[in-house]
Amino acid sequence: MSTATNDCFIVNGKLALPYQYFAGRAGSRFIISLRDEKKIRGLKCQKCGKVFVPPRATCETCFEDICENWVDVKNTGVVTCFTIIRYKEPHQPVDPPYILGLVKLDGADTPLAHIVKGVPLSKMKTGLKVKAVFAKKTTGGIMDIDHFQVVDDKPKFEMGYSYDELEIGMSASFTKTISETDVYLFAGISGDFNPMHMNEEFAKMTPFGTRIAHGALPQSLIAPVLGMKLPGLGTVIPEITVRFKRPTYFGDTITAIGEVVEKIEKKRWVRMELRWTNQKDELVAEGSCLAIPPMPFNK
Amino acid sequence: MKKNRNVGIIGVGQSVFSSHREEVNQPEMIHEAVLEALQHAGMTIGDVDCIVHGNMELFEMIHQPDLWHTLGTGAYGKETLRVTTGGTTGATLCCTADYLVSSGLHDVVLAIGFEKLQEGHTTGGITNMADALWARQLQTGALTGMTAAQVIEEFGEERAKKAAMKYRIIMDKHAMKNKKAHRRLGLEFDQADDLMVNSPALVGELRMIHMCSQSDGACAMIFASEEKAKQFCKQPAWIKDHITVHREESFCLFGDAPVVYSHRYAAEKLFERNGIKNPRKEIDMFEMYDPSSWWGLDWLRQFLLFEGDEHLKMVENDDITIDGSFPVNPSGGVTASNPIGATAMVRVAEAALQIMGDAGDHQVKKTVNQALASGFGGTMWTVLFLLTRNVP
Amino acid sequence: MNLGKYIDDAVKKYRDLPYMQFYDRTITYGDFSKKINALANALKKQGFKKGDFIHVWVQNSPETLIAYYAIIKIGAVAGPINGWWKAPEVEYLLNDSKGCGLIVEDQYLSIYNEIKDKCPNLKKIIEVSEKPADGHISFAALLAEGDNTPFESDADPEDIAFIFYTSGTTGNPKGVLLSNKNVVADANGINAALNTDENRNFLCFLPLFHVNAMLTCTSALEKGHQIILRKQFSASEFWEVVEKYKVNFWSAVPAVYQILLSDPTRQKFDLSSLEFGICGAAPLTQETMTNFQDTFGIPIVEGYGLTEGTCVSTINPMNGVRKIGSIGLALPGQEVLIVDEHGNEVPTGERGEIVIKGDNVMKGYYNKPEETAKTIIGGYLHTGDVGVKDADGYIFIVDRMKDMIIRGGENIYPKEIDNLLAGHPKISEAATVGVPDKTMGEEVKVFVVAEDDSLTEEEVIEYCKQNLASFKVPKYVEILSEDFPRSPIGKVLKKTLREWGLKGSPTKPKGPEVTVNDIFGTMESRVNPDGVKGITANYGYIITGTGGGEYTVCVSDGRVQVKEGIHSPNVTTTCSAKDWIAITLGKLDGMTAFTSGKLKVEGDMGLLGKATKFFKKYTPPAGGDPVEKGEELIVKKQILSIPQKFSTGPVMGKFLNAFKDKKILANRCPKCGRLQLPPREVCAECVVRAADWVEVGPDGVISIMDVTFYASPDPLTGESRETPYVSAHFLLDGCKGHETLWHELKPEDRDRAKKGDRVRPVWNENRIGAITDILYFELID
Repeated sequence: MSTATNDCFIVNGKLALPYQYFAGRAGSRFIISLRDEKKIRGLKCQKCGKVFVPPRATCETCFEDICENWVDVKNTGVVTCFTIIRYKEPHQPVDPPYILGLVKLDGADTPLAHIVKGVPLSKMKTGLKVKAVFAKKTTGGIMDIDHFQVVDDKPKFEMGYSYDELEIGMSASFTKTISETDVYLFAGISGDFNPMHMNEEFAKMTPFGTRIAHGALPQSLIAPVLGMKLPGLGTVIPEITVRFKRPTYFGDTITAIGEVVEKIEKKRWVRMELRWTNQKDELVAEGSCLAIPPMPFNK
Repeated sequence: MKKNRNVGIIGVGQSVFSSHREEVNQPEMIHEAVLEALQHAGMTIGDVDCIVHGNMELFEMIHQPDLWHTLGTGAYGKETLRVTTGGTTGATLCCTADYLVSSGLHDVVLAIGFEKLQEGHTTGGITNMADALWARQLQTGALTGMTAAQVIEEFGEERAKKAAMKYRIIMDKHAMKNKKAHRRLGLEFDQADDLMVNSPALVGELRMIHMCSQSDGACAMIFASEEKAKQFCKQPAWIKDHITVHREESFCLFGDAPVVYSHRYAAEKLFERNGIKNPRKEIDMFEMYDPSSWWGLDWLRQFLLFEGDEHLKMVENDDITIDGSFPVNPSGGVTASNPIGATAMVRVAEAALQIMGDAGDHQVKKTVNQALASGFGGTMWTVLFLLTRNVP
Repeated sequence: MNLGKYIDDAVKKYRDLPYMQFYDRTITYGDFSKKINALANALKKQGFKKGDFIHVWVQNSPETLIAYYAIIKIGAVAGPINGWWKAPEVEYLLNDSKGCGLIVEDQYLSIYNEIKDKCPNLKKIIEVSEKPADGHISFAALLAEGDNTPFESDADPEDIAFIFYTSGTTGNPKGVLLSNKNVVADANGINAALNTDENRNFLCFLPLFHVNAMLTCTSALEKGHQIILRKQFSASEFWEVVEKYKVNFWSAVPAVYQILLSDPTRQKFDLSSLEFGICGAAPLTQETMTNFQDTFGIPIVEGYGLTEGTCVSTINPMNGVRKIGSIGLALPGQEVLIVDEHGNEVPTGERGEIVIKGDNVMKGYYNKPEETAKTIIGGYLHTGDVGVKDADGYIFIVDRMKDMIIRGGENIYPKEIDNLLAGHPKISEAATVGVPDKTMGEEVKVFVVAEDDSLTEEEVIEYCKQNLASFKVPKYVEILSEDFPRSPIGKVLKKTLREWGLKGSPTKPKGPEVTVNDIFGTMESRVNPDGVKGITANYGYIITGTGGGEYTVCVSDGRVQVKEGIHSPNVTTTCSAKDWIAITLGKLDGMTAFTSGKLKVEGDMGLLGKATKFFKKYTPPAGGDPVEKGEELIVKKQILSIPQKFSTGPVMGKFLNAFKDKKILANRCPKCGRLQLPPREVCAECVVRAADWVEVGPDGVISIMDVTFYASPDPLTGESRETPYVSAHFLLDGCKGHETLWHELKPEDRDRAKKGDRVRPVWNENRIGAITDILYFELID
């Protein structure tokens, strides 16, 4: 055969693929809910209880017709799986790189594939909570949900330890240097203009030899410990006792420490031992208190 | 054909065939047929071992739809196989199901053929199927007037045209009795002359009225081993034999080429293997894949191994009507409904229904002991099935 | 002469002869009279006085007539109650007449009990039954009281004898007051007109609560006839009864004759006693009359009258000329004229209102002086029927005035159309009514009950076109799937048909009332700008059949104008109105209609394809299929494309490259010598490599041709190639038969070319190694 392979050549063409896709009754209602009501709905199989989102007319395991059992699902959900698209291709809805995630909405048993935004690509991980963001301009398709936005899970307020969470031995502290300004302001706030805090000439005559801070000042440093650290936000202190051991001089750095020493089961309160020390590690004051830990709020 | 064990058809389901199935998507449409087949056989999806699925590839412009059709096909957790052989897909699906059961691999196989032509672009699909260099510019597929020209040349214009039109009207009358058929035009014989002139011509003498429709629809059939078939069904349609023949060169062999038609070849071999000497007498009815009335007419001669004008006489003497001596296409044939991936299967399904006695209003009156069903596709691909009432 | 005396005179003559045969009871004239007297005396004893209204609600039986005559004898007024009426109607009647007495059969008690509390005027209830209810007087007991003293009526002829309520077609029923004189006069008139012998057997099955049966039973007295009385008409026993009692004649309505015609059981019976049949109360179609007369060999004597005229005013003479379609001549003693709107008699042959004068004309409507004054003017009873008198004095009814249609100022008498259509072999009966129309005021719509299911609306209109003036041809036709709505005596209720109007029968599957006018009329407001861009063409539409018309849709400069009529169309579509509406609503697929020839197209077909994009979908004004309305289905459409690369392979590559040199190559199998064109790697027969190359052609011969008329558009560009084009197999020189090249023939050669003609390729200037390097093959002259 006197045919050389260099007789072979390539013919270029274009394959046209015109098509129509009918969503069917179930599919249409799903899309229409997205488009008109901004609501996501699924279909539930009465037999096995599985909720399909996007909805299907048949449950594939039970082989039952489920096309009338509409249920609402929430707009929020969790990313169960994801990948990051990095290559470019004409049929993509957005430019790469972008995250394509499987989102299982609250109330649904099947995940829905969609674009996820709101978190740097490197920080993307499964388990993130997301919320649907609906498109402003609708096209009558799945892109009527524009994308799913990652939502920050941290609550604004982090409550303190509850009774059950507190353990004997847990402790926390707070440290601050008491300045002349603190003392003078405190005098103004409390009305206690006792010259031993205000008048250096007078203070020279006291056993302390110089001005000292009001006792309540260093004492108050236990408040941020109890109220913001241990037990923390939501704590109520019905009783506190303090025994002063040493004076606090202007410029002293006082550390207030609280430690859980007893759990009172009957009342679900705790008893804490309190200590105040200065920069020389000398004991400035000691005491105890009863603390009512915060109750867990309705989550 | 040597088989490990006999295979019977025990359930047939067809979705509604129409050009406007807009309220269902593909899996839902298939589901209709599957449910009906299961109900007919008295089975649940749990009784099925394997699912064979097919349609013409890319006709809906979607690849491998069997994957996302599992919701409708019930293929979840089962073995599956996909078949796509062009126009004969439906019949080849039956062959595949037959092989799977007769080999002993599976006891019960559900075969599903479907097409949702409204969603795709059929002509585009067919055009894209042919050789890129030759056939794209010119008409392709079943649309050719050459057969009509041949028949006219052999038998004279008047007789040929009358026979083709009569064939068409008989097919429509059959379709009127078939609830599932897509196109039921309600034609009457006295319209023949009018239609021969008024129906728009497509290619040569091939007119629109002669051509098959483009339909959406699905067909499902349940094949079972002899033991299971007898357990579930009181009169299964047994598969005695089937044969597949095609010839690639066929596209360039219209006209004077003295080459055996793949139809005749298939028929000869099949009848020889099964000891059928006189098919006209020994076969009780025939569901023939007739993409156009001209082809239906012409191939009647090939399948029944006639020479001369026997086939024309059969049409002229009403032998091919439901009440005739050799009913052809009591379901209305392909001119009535044509969801391509399912069409060839529907031929086997309808032949099976006739044997089982479940064809309803278009049931042939006489007892059907042996039925023939054919499938057709590109490159003159012919699949011929022989079904029997008695266990082979 | 009062009725009482009329009866007594008859009794004297025929005392022992049978007056009535009621199933197995025979009642002689004498018996009859005794019972009347007994009841009359009893009623008097009950306290009933002259002038009292006593109602009778008893189905056909001797008791009914006994009741009537007894009441009349005491000078009270007998008020028959229609046995088919329901509670509200009876309640209305009783409160209108304020009757104080009621003779009621037990079968009607359930209705009576429903309304009795609302009828305060009734004082005494006499019950005809085995066991009357508490508080009811037993009829039988009254009779048995035994006082047979002959009761002579002292009524004045002008005294009211009967009050018959007519079921009005407009408004509420009215009580027609008939005096003794009226009844006697009409009885005498009918006897004179019929001039039968004495003692004939007369079959009476019409209800006695209507004047027809009452009068025939009364007039029978004078002649000593025997009344074979039946409870009601029954087709199944009819002929048996005729044979058993040797019936000589009967009086019936047209519906009865139609039913009898279709009853095959008559074959078994001896009907030789039959002499004639009387027909009245509704128009008798000529067809029915002729058929009946031909089938049974006895004449039907058609007559005419109304309750307001006692019963009958005209009749065809028994022993004279009976004109088919005519209601006959005036009864002796009556004057029947045709007058214009001023009451002046019109010339012979002209149409006008039928008016009657005579002793039979009612006293008036009870308590309705205005109505009475409108009806009896100058002593003449105005019937409201339009008639015409011929030169012989025979009267023909044209129509009810109320049924007349006024279309664009022209009067159309629906009966004319009804009668015409009744003569069509496929039509059983037709009823024409007017329907409102903006332009014409009224348009003509005919409702048809078909004899033959293959009847089409077009056929009906065609038939009318051939036989009627064009302004009378119905614009709308509706073929009913069930019978007409009818009154209990079988009259077609045209009032109901008028109510149905254009919307049609309520049993028809309710679709939106879309007309072709609506569709074309809204086209300009539904234009889809993208669809009409860049097109300049006139589209003609010939819409045939009921509700059709001719329109031209002119498209140019992105605008659409719809004109009536056909104006220089580039393409014309012909379709029936029914199909056009179905296609527009999406109920009939346009392609299917095209394929089966229901939609015919002439002219540039390519233009028609573009037309489908011109307009936004037509939605009917209201209603519509509930499923379609509520459900929106989402469809996603896309035209994607993917690039393709096709590798020719060395064999095809060599073949195509040869085109650049204007050479056509085939390859040959070394084993069998077969050529393959286009070339293949391997010989299909021998399955060996086809190794050698041979140059063939370039000229050749046409092997087989195919003319293609359609071309599907490219999905990406939307363009389609020009049609028709010819593709063919060409057998090139050097080839033997297998190896034809499939290519195109020059379009201009299409008509001349035939099999066997020599051709040569026409090469493209620019050849790149593709099949299109050959443009086409052309004939070598």
